[in-house]
Amino acid sequence: MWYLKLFSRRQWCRLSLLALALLPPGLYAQQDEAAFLSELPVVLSATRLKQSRHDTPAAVTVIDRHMIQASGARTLVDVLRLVPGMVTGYATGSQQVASYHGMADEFSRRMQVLVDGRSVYQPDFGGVSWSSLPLALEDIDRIEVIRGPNSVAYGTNSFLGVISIITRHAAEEQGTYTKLTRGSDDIGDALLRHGGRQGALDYRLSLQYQQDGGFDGITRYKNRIWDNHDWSRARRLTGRADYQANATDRWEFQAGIAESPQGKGALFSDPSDPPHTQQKENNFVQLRWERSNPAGHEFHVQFHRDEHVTRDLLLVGPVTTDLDAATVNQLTGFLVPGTLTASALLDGYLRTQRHDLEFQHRYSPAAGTRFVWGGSLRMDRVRSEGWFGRDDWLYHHLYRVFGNAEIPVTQDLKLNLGAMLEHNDIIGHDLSPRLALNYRLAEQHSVRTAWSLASRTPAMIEEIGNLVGVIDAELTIPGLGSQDFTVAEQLILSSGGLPRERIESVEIGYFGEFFERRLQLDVKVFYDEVDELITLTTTQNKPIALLSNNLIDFEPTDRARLQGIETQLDWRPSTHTMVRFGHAYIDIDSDDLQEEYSRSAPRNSYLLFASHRFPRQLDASLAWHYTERMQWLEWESINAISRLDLRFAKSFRLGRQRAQLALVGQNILGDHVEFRRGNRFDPRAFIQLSLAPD
Amino acid sequence: MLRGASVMIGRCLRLLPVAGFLLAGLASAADQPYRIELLLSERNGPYQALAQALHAELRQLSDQPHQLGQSLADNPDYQAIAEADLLVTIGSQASRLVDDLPARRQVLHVLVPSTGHPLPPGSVAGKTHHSAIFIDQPWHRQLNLIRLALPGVGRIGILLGNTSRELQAELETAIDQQQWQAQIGLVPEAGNYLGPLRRLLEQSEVLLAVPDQQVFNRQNLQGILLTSYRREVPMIGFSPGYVRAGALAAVYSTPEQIATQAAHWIASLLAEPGRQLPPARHPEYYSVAVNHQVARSLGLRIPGETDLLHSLQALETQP
Repeated sequence: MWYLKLFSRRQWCRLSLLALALLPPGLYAQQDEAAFLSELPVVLSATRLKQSRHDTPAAVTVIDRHMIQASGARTLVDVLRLVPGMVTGYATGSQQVASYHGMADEFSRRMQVLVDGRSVYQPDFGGVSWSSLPLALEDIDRIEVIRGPNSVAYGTNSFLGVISIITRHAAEEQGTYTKLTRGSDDIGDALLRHGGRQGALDYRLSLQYQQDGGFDGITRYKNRIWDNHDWSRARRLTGRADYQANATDRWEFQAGIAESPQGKGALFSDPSDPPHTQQKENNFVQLRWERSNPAGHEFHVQFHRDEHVTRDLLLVGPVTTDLDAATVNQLTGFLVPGTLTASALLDGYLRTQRHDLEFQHRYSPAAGTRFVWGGSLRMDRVRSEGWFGRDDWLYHHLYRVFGNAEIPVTQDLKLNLGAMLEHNDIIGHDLSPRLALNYRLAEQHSVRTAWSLASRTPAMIEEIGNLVGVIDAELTIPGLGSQDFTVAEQLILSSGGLPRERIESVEIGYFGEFFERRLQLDVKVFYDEVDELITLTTTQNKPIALLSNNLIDFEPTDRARLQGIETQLDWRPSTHTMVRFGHAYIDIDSDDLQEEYSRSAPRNSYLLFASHRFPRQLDASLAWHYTERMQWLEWESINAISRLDLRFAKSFRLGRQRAQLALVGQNILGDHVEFRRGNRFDPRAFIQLSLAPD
Repeated sequence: MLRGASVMIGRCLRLLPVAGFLLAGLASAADQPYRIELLLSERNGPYQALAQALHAELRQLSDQPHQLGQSLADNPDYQAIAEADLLVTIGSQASRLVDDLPARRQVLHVLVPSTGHPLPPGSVAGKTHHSAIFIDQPWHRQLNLIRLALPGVGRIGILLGNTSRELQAELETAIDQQQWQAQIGLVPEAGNYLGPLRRLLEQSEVLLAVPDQQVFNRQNLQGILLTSYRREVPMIGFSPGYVRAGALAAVYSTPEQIATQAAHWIASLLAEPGRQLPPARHPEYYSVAVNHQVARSLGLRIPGETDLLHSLQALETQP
């Protein structure tokens, strides 16, 4: 071969050495001992690891990725149905609500929600605006729900429970993923996600669109024909980058933006709630630095900034009312009956910002002992002339330090001891302690008992709410002519000075595993006492009541006692099958006048989830739940609800892609009334097609 | 690596003077103490630790007169190497230089992996007698660890790259001998490991990491460990670094343990100078590391490191 002669033997030797030098490091290093000797970054750090359920000081329910997908859910609250004791629903077709153990209206103020450690609980009205969260269900790795108070780890508002949503590490998504959804009730979603890598940097970008027509059609409600105006749209863009700087340091950056216009009010209904559009926007940035050193110390510092904007301009009226002589006398001085035509423009514009900096340190001072401590600084500010009666920023500052230790007393007995000290502008100082014992009865069986105190800080609307409706009115008095004037009608006026709500909770639980851990059973018995329960009160002695008869205030006068038993059974007979059964019995005894709290959770609720993978890549799953009669706070009571969702999916290959076609039927057992009587939740169905890289 | 290549080029040019040292070496070989020359891949870290441990162990084990010298792979002491009765190369870089170094009687390669090494376990090559104590553990030992740490598992998942593919047959045989099922996932190109990994995890109860830089490198490790952890499939690593990173357990040998074994081999050479080194093999001394935090999180209760080690040793001494 002529080309072999172009170089001498020595030149060939050099060339091959040069070629060796130019080979990518991976190939050359394959024979290296470096793989055996080098330090590696700690990937499964204590923060990332979920605690064994034998060791947790509270009942924890995990919803993993598989369950999220198999449930056929398009919204977060439909996923949260898979948690025993969780009460979920739709206040309108566009407004999702979830609350653990009830005690909630359309704002669930007594439950903390975290996304990757970032609290998304809003300080203004309390609760979470689920639809405008910049978060796609498909990016969630798992949801851990701590069923019970946990202020000791997450501060105030971790009152009845804590939902912690954990998204996937960017390294777990590579390539482009698409998913399209189309179905009845104007359902239409699209998701495009791309994950990639540059050296030690993994990143992911997700773009999502969702639309939904809301509840169907026309119902009769309060003797009126009612047509819900509750459609919703959501556009979300989120990104995440994970950078492993070296063997010990890791950086995580996340950002997202979402906007969600949604229909509010109803046609032909209450004139004070006419159809209109509410626009919700949410954006955030989050930066986290983690260090895991070889001695087992783990540190993280996290900063996030979160902003919510609600634009809601509501034109009420014009409404025509006949006034009696006494009212006309109050307005004009004439003692004759008249007719009033009034309209009001209510501006519900609301901007809320949060800046939060937190630090945490975990380590294990001795074998089996684990200690975590940390602190955070937070500044929330809210601006809304409509809701708070002033056009400037209203600040709320918060400072926290906490510590928690897990100490093995004997080989089988573990003590869990911790406390959180918080100071914030509304309630001042607050201490939330917890004491728990976990006892391993046998290899696969353990019991736990926990006592804890937790608090809730009043939402800003409860503490400093001040809503005034400015009414433009025209008064016509037959024979005398007409007169234009403006009236200010107070709708909400908070007296303020509210203390924190306090919950003292005792829990006894059992966790057992059977049949080589294929069957897991968790039973929890709880007894909670809530003091200084802040309740919405209404008075009706307004001089003029054109918009509403009620003047709203908030008072810390009530007490409630919650007790019950919850069961969760997870069964995985094979890798292809999964079953979850849950039951909750909740008895709330409250001393508010109407005993509303007592009815705010169903006495019994059941859930069943099952999924199975059949041969030929066919998947089938069902999610059923049944809740007995209940009543959301400030709404009418609703009958028992039984909802069954089914999903069938077929996976196949499409070129170099993995494709899946799924058919989902929701609420297939038929209509029911959801949340309030005007909402008719009808059966719906949709088809989903997804394409994933191989 | 570039430095390694330039060293090799430099060495090619120096081959002529080496021949002179070689002759000188042969002439003066007569009644000197046994000369051992160490050639270290690098000055620091595990290479130096091994060299020091070897010195110390040898002093303890043997009172026979011997002389120990050492030089570095990027500047070998040609004369000493030519005169040595035994050359010990420490690390792959030093080991790869051997063909171009002056001839010696025996060469012992340590701290080198068996995969891709010119000496398969148990072989003897050429006129010069070569042997090795590999850094990696034999398959049966790693499988025994799985048996002890995770009783009841039967489907062992293994992710192989283009280069480690050649191990497939021997791995399958080893797993077969345990009456287990080997699940093999092949990663066709660097980086694109997630698809094969996901499919593999669906059929596996435990993931056995195999040293192949194309698959198990620092960058992929994040995704591999996270993905397998999510699916509750524990990983068995091959170094303490893997265990710290999040693997459930690993059996491994420290440089000091390899030094101990090498010292024993050398001591018997000193006692009987005409003797040959035993054939190349995997380490005799080893340790076990367990990540109890990961075990607890996965709901596994596995024995302590010492217990596992003793059980492993007991299994190996059984006939």
